[in-house]
Parts: sequence; C-alpha cells; structure tokens
Amino acid sequence: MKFSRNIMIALLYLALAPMNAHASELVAGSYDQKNDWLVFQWSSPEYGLRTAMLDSGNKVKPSIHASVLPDGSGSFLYAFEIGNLLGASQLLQHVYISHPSSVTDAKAPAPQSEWDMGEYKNQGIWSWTKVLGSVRGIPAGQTVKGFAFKSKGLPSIVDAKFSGKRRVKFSGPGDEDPDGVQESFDRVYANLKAQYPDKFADTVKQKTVGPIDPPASFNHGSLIQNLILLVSQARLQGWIDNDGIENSFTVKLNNAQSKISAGDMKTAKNVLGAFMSDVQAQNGKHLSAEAYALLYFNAKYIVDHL
Amino acid sequence: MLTTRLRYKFYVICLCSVISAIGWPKDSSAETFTIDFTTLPDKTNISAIPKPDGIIFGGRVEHSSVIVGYPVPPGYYAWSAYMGYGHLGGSFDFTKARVSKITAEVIGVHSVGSFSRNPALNYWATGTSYNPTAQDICFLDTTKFYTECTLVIDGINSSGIFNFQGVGGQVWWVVLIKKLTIDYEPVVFLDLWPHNLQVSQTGASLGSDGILKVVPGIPVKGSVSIISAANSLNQNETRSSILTVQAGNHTYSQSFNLSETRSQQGMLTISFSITFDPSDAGIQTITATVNPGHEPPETDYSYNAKSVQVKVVGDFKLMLNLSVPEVYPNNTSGNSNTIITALLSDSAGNPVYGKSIQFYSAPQDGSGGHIAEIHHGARPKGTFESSSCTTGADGTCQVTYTASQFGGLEKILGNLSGNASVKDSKTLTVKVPALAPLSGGPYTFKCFGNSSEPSCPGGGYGHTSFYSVQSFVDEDMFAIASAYSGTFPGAPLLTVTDASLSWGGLYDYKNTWTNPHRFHREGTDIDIRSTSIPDDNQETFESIVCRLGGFPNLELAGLPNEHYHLYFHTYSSAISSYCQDSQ
Repeated sequence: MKFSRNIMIALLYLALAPMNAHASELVAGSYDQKNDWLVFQWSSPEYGLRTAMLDSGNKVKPSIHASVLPDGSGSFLYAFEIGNLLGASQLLQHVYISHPSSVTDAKAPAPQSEWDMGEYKNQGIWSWTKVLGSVRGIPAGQTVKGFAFKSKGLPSIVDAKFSGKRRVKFSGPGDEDPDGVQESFDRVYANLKAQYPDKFADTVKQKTVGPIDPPASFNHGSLIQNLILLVSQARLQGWIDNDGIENSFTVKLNNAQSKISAGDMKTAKNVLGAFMSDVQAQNGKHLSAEAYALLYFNAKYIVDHL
Repeated sequence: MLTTRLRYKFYVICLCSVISAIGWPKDSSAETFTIDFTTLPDKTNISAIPKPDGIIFGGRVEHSSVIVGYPVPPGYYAWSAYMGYGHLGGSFDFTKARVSKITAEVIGVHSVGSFSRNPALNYWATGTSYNPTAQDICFLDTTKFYTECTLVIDGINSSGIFNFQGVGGQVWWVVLIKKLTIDYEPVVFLDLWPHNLQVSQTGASLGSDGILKVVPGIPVKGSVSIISAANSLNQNETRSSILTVQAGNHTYSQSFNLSETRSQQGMLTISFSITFDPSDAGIQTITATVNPGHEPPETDYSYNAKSVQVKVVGDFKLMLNLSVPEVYPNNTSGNSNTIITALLSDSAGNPVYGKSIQFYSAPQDGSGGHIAEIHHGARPKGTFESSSCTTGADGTCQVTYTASQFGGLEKILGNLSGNASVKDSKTLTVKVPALAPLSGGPYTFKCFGNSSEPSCPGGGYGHTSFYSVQSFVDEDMFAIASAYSGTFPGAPLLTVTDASLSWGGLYDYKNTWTNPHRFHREGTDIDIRSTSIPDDNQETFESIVCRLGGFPNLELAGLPNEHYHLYFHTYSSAISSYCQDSQ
C-alpha cells in the first residue's frame, strides 16, 4: 500500500516537474486550465499525498452604486447597492469599502444575520461577507441593496474591493509538514504567481463614494481646489456623463475661487450656492448619485464655513 | 690539573714482551687491573700502556742495578721515582673508576743496612670520600738492606686521586713498588652530561625578568642534549642511562641507550614534557639530570645536571562576557546570536596573550517549558562559530554563539585549553520576549477541565505553558472570539488547542526536539479545534478571523487532526492567501 503510494507520488512529481523552476522542489505546482485554478501537491510522511487548490476570488463582475444622505444628526448615511453582473463565474461573497473617516451604524442586506460585517483591523476598511444562507454570495445577474453605514465624514472617492466565493477551500502546507515543504511551496507559489498573476488576484477593485474627514483647519482655497478635483474625477468615473456639465461646474468653481481670493466672500457664497443649485438640478440626469453626493455636500460644507 | 697533583715522576723498568701482563675484564661490575713492573721492559712509558677507563697514571719503568746511587740486587725490577732524596711516590688518577682495593708489593733498599726511622709506603688521597686508617701502611724491616712488604688498602669504594709515597726513613733509602693490583669498578655513566636545556610552552612569553612565563595545565615541552665524553664507552659497547627532569613535584624520566657509535657523535637530544598544576604557581626550577645519584667527583665533568627556571602563572582567571544576555531562539524573527568575549588574565590582572579558550554549551533541562523527562533524546544545543579562540594582546578573544531553536536557558562554558580548572560560564536566556498566556475571553482551552488528557500537563504531556502569545495576538484572539460568540450566541465556545511556549522557540509537541510544530515559535500562531465550530459557522469564523487580524488555514482537513491554524504573522506571501482581501 505504502509502496504504491510512493510510486504514485513519484509519478506525480515526474509529471509536474517541468512546471517547476526547481526540479528538485518538494512541492509541485501547476495551473489547472480546466478548472481555472492552481494546484499544489506535496508529500507528507504522515499524511501521504497532499493537494491544495487555490481558486482566485476575482471571477466576479461587481457593480456598486452609492448614495449619500444627511441623517439629520450631523452624519451622513452612506448606502450601497451592489451587484454581480452576468458572466461572473463566482458568487460575489466579500465586499470591502475603505472609509478614511470612521463609520457607525453599519447595516447589511436582509437577512442581516447571513452577513458577517465589520471593521477591518487598523485598515479603515468596512467589510461584508455572505457567510450563511443557502447561497453564500450575490449570484451573477443579481443586485443587492442594504449595505450601509453612517459617518460624519464628507463624501469622497474611495476604493471598493470585491471578492468571489472560492469554489474550493485553499489549505496549503502548514505546521505539520516536513522541513523544506513550506519553503518549496513559497518558491513554487512565487514562480506561478509571476507566470499567472491574474490567477492569484483575489479581488476586483472599483471606486465608490465613502467618507473622509474634512481638513483639521478650514482653508477656502484648498477646499475649492479639492471640489474642482472631485468634478474632474467624477467625470472620469462616469458619474458626470457630459463634458459640458463638467466644464460648467469647473467655471463656476473657479469663479468662486477668484472671489474668495479677492476677499469677496459674499459673492463667493452666492456663486457656490448657484453651483449647488445646478448640482441638484442635474442629479439623476447628467449626474449620478455618487456625483451628486460628492459635489453637493462638499460645496455645502464650504458654504457653511464661509 | 692532574699534573699539579703529581709529586713525583715515575720511572718503570719493564720488558715490552710482557705487555700481556696488563689486562682488565670488560663489562663486569668488579674488575681487577694488575701491573707487574718487574716484567716490563726497561724504560717503558707507563702512560702509553693501555689501561681500563677510569685508571690513569704515568711514569716510567727503570731497570737498573743502581737507583739514586744505591745498588739494587740483580733480579729485582722496580718502579721508582727519583727526587733526589730517595723517596718513591706517584699519583694514580682513579677519578673515573670506583676503586675498592689497592694492593701494592713494596721493596725497600737501604744503603747502610738499617733505617733509623721506620720506613713505609704510605698514601693519601684527594677528591675521594675514603679516609686512610692506621692499617693502611706497611712497614719495612729496618735491619736489612733489602726488605719487602705488602700494602693492602681495602674498602675504599671511591674514586679520586690516590698518592703514594715512601715515608719515614733516612735519606739513604728508597722504597719501590714492584707490583700493583687495583680492584675497581669502571664508572662511565657520568661521562655524560646535559647540555643546552631548553623549555617552551605554546603561547608562553618571557617576563620582564627574562624568565619564561608558563601556565598550568599545558605541557611545558623541553629538550636537552646529552653530551658524552669520547672515551665514555669502549668499542661496540652500549650503556643504559637515564635522564630525569625534575620540577617541583613533577618528574619526568626516560631511559636511553648510549652506544659507542653515539658516543663518537657526542650528542643525543632527548625531549621531555612537564605539566604544572595551579599549585605550582611561582618560580619553578626545571633540572635535567643524567644518571642521578652518581655524584661528582666521580667524573671529570662535575655537572651531571642542568637547570632552567620558569615562572608558573598559577592563578589564571577567565571571564566570559556575552554581548547580549538574552537572544531569540534560532529560526525566529529576532537575533539569536550573542558574541562571547573571553578575557584571560593572570594573578596580577595582566592580560594573557596567545592562549586557547575552548567553549561548549549546556542547555538547562526543564527550561523554556520543555519537560526533560518526557522528551526523547538529547536536548539540542546552540552552535559556536568556532569551538575555540586564541587570546590576543589584550587577553581577549571572541566567538559567536547561535542559540538553539528552543526557548530556555543555555549555559555557555569556557575554559583554558588543557586546563579545565581555569573556567567561567554565563547563562544565556533564549526566549521570545514578552510572551504571555492568553488572558482568556469567550473561548476555552484544550486542557481546561481536561488536564489529565495525554496531551495535557496532568496527563504526562512534555510541555508547560503552551498557550503563550504576543499581546496583540491576545487582543486579536479576544476580539475574534467575542465577534464569533456574538454572532453565534448559542454555539460552543472556540477551543484553543495550542499557541506558543512561554519562552517561544520550536514547540515540539511530539516531545522529539523537532517539528512539528514548524510555527508556533513566536506567539503569533493559535490552533483552534475545528470540531468546535459547526460547519455552517466556519465561513463566518474565517471572515471574522480575516477582518480581525488573522489568517485562518484549515489544516489537515478531513483528518483526525484537522484544526484551524490562525496565523497572526504572514511568514510568507502564501499565508496571505488565506484571506481574500490582501490584493
């Protein structure tokens, strides 16, 4: 029995040897095209042939839409609608949204108990993971509402990351394996990662709107400049669908900036008020909810402090 | 010098044809030499006649009927000396022979027929331990012109210069020896003497007083050349001799054979070795003696011993110092090396140069949470960059020591090479600092309430305090368990089965001083019993672990030992893959 097992291991090593940079590696690694995952195999004297499959979590097609509303108590409610577009081969299981400003009162989609959510330790990231229920993630072609948190931070552009549910659990060499296996695994892992970088990518990144703390000291000039930058970034994200709108907003903001520079705060306030009216008027038309949140509430913050 | 001792010249009357009358047995402890002057040709030069080693005398045989004017009857042959007054005498050099008995047949010749005083043959000796007695004289008949007596001196047993002289008579007489027999023992040993005695010790140096400073415990190697006199041995003769080297209570002895051939070469070098003890501290005299017990003046070469002084520095002091008294176990993230500095000084505190210091280590049983009695095999030691070093001009030298993979106490010992009594030691603490037992929370432990299980201390497990972690891991574990129990209030508590030993290092949970565990060395790994987590809860658990600082890996999935290994340190990039948020 043991003999035949050893032969099997030897044959496996022979079959996988060309894929390894180190012919004498204790761990064999390869990309399994059929299953679109990576396979690692090694031998353990105590437990025999060991196999680990690494299924990258990037086989999802996420979509995210953010909306921001004041909650009436000095905070903003950040709400997200997240979908997994058709063509995704994995359930969208993990959602990570960075929040440079602290958040509270987080919510998960109903039933909320099926989602584990929480702060990522020391990283300024809030996560939701579908851990229970018959379907552990958002299936392709579906959209889920109910992701939300509150924050006193002003809307800004932040990272959102999404990861699919692995089709197999990954369990690499560990504590019980012989000397050299872990080191060999690390080398093989690194070599394969260099060869197939996308097969090791576990997340898909996008941009969304999240909270950021306003500057500690109020500076009209830099705040106007930041607002101008948000206009251009919102256009880049497609949250403003028209160059003319972008240009119109930029002209107004530059005008406000010149008035502030001239010390004409009253006129500057009027110009920014007109800008906010335009934003409201374009919300849902040429502006997405994200663009509206970014431009309206940041402009309001300046006006409130002039 | 010999000639100054002669008081008379000897004239021996003899016949050349009777040379065979002279002879001596060789290689026997007691030998006899006889010379009958009456048989030797006239005018025989006694010096030229072969004689045994150790017997030297000269003179000449006179065969005459008239000696100093006094007629000698025909048929008498005599050995005589002429000094104008009729006294007869001469010196016999027996400094190289141990003479036991001298027998001399004596005649007296008187010109007027009688002696007014009692003539006699008397003798005295120089350089000998023998003192003449009243019996050592023979008296002649004073009433006859020609008279004889025999002088027998027995029990001499000494070497030296023997002087014979006729004494006591009037001026008109002469006393002659016609036959001489000497019983003797050849003495050749002391024709050897030591020369060019040299001593040295590895690394030794001369003191300001010009005396070599040596240390105890290390052999003092020496050599001495043995010089032999050209006439020490007869042809083809071999003699056994002995060299002793004495220094305090230390003696070195070596027998050696000196052959005639060697004798001609004149020199034999013998090496020796003396090792001093610390109690020998101070000035020591090393004396090399050839054939001790044979005292001068049995030899012309009065010095059969040669000496040299050394200074034994007896109270060396060795001090070890560790650059850091506490290091991490090997194969952890911290420094596991300490530099050992050895300082060797003498009693005056002066640094000692050029001495080799040896090092070794001894891990302390039971330290670091490893119960010695339950472990199999010898506890591994750390390693020295070099097992020894040699002190420099400042008396110091250094080696680097790398601790073992195990937390615990490792005793570093050093001693002077060749002298284990000059030693010192320091204890190195090998530990991952600041590990502390998990402080508890909404989780439990494998051995909590089950301490008598085989894998627990009460059941004979070979380790103690194996729930130790770094403080941030303690906080993370608390947060994870709190989140988990908060999500699943009715679920069983998480069960911690292993973390790290209290001092970290390799945690050989099978008590074999080797893996497994490969990890669990620095308080950043926690094993959780997976069976304590219902299947439906496992993804939640993993998600909680990931967002609260850990990396969960379900090890040995499907096997009896299946468990969650929570990494709180990413030893490699692969470990990051246990959470899907890393890229």
